[in-house]
Amino acid sequence: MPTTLNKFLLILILILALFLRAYHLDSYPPINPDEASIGYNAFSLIKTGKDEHGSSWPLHFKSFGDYKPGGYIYLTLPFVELFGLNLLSVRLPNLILSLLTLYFFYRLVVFLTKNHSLSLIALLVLTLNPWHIHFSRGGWESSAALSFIVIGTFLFFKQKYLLFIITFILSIYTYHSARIIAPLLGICYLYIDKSYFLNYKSKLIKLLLIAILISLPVIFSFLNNGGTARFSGVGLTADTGPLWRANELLSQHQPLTLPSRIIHNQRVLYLFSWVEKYFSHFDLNYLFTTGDQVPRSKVPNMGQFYLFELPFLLIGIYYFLHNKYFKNHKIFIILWLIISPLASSLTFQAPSALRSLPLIIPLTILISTGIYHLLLRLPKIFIIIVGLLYFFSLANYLNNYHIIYPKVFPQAWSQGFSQVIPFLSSNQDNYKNVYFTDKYDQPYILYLFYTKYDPSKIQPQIKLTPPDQFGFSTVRQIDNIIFEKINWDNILPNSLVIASDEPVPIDPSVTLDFPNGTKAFKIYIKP
Amino acid sequence: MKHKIIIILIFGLGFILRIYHVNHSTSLLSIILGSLVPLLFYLIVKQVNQKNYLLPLITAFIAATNPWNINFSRVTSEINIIVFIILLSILLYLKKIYLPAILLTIITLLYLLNNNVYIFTSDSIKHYLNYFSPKYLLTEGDYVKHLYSPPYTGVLLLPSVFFLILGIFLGKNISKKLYNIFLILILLLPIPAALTLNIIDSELALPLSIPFIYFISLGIYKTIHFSKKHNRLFPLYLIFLIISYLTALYLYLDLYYAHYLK
Repeated sequence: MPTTLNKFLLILILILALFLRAYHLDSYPPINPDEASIGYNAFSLIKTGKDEHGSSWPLHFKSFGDYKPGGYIYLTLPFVELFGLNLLSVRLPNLILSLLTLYFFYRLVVFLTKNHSLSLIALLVLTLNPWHIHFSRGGWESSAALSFIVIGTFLFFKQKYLLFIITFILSIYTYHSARIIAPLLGICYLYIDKSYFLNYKSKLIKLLLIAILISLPVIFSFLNNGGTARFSGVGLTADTGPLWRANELLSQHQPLTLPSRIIHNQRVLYLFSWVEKYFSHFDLNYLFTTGDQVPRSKVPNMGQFYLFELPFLLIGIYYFLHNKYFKNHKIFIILWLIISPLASSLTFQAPSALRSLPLIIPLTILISTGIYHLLLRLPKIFIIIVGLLYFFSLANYLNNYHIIYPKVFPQAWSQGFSQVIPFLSSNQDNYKNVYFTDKYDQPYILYLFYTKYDPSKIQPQIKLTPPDQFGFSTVRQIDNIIFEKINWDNILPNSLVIASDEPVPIDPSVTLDFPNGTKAFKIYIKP
Repeated sequence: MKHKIIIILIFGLGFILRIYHVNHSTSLLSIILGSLVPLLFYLIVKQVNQKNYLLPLITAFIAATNPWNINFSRVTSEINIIVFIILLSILLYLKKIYLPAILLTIITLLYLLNNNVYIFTSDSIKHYLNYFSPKYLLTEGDYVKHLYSPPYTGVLLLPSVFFLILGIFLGKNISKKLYNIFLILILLLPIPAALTLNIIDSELALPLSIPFIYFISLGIYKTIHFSKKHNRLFPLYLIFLIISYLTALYLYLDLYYAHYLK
């Protein structure tokens, strides 16, 4: 039973978690196009019952041609209704769900270990973890889906099987990667617990039927709404490397024998490519020193975990395997480890911290096991040392995140839009046309978001461009605003031009800067 | 008798892999000392586990067929000779012939200190961890200089990577003494290479293959031991294991002879 001290520490850690994740959440990190799309589509549903493209209450939102799973957008609806269309409304669902992840993660570890100290350590490690903090701050569907999976896992262990099924399926309505991870985890859970279900066969069948039934709408919607097109844009086969390698290797065999045709077959090489991408999620540099390559997914000069946690991970793996901390539940942690990178490994951009977010759970458990094991055996001063390590690492992370990050990667975030859009709105009727640079991702949706553009007016006129190499489209024109690369010669007279760093023969009338001093927007007038 | 035939086959295999179509300018000493590495491993493991006949054989086999070691045995490499010296010093230490063991260790340290420039930078930790990365071990090997190694393959065979992890985390109970020795080695041996300015220095890090080979063999041994308990599983698993290794070896040799040597 948890002592009063345990309960007190639990509440303290959750308050710390709230502070780390909610501080300045309404303004930092700056908005990204996916968040603008989530918010605006929720707004559009409230006002018109349709999304920005005019589809009535869809399960997948066409958005940029990426057909986002709708779960998170529907979660955002009540917040947009209550608080209006703004960044905080988009981020609040994920904030709440992230805190629920932490709480139910703690409850889960308590259940698996019956050890409140180890569970509190695990909770603290996850609370302070850069990877989790990063994806708690923003409208990240991945984090919301993780929350459902963690809650569902807890419900499974509490034998609330129907609720477990429902929460797991909520995750597949929320995020693409969950569509691989949740079913696989769910089936493995049911299989591991098969001795229970052999006595309750009808219950198992009922559960599976319900699972299939409530999944049908999203499966149907996925197959009909270009979900497969999304996969071909970001999937493994979008990487042409193995194809070129196959041709190169085959051409070096003169004459071509059957064994060489087999081993240098492009399918075999794509398989090797998948193996490489899968294991890249366990690369120690990725986890502890350099992190994800995508600027939007982490702060610079850091890994997904703190570097000092590496020895704890190794010690944790050893004692996890040899000691009875997790009793006969070890298989679940190993399952999480194996399954978590699967979805991400099927995309060409791996390792992906965003798509393999569930990996954070087993790794946190293993790191905590290492810390706990050493805490038991070393003198008390060790607690102080670990505390200081976390304190300084967290301070360094927060400094990186709040102060250095915006100066290093301002373009990764759509900074400057909150200033430039009001300027545009107030001036757009003074000119025949407005040209807006497309240097920064999806400017049209940021325009719609910041102006709270009337959805009933966008739905008839919105038109997506053909998809690019990654499968993404954009919108080129809304009313008299044209979103494209600024080419001065093509610009018609009497136009307001909002450019980035495209070459323009005259001086700008107004400029807006990024926090690091470089120019975000340069505004010109073509008479 | 059967045992002796298997040993000779393994050593023979190791020698053939190191000498077949080797470049004429390669020093014979490097080839011979490289071919003796499996023998040294066999003797080391046998010294500590006298009643165990399987583990020494597995270790010799892994040492004979490990790509990293084969690559550098087929060229004139001083580090290849250092690997031999390190193994010899471990064997002598286990046989309690301490003085020569210490002398050989000192020779190794002197060699390493004299032949390279060492600088600790903020990137040294990243370099250190690179030697444990899937990219280096499994898929690309020396992805910077591609020194003496075929393309599109790592320094270990694919199945070895699994067994390496199993061996490190599950293999302590087979021989605590050897486990501790090789655990210390696996932590220390990448340091010289990590302290140079190279992102990856496959040659200087070659001694790291020593603990790798041991832990890989431990991992294989543990899985065979485990599957022996489940009688029906055992022959299937053995066949699966042999086929995996033969396939992995075939893939490596194809990349080496049909693509790298050309």
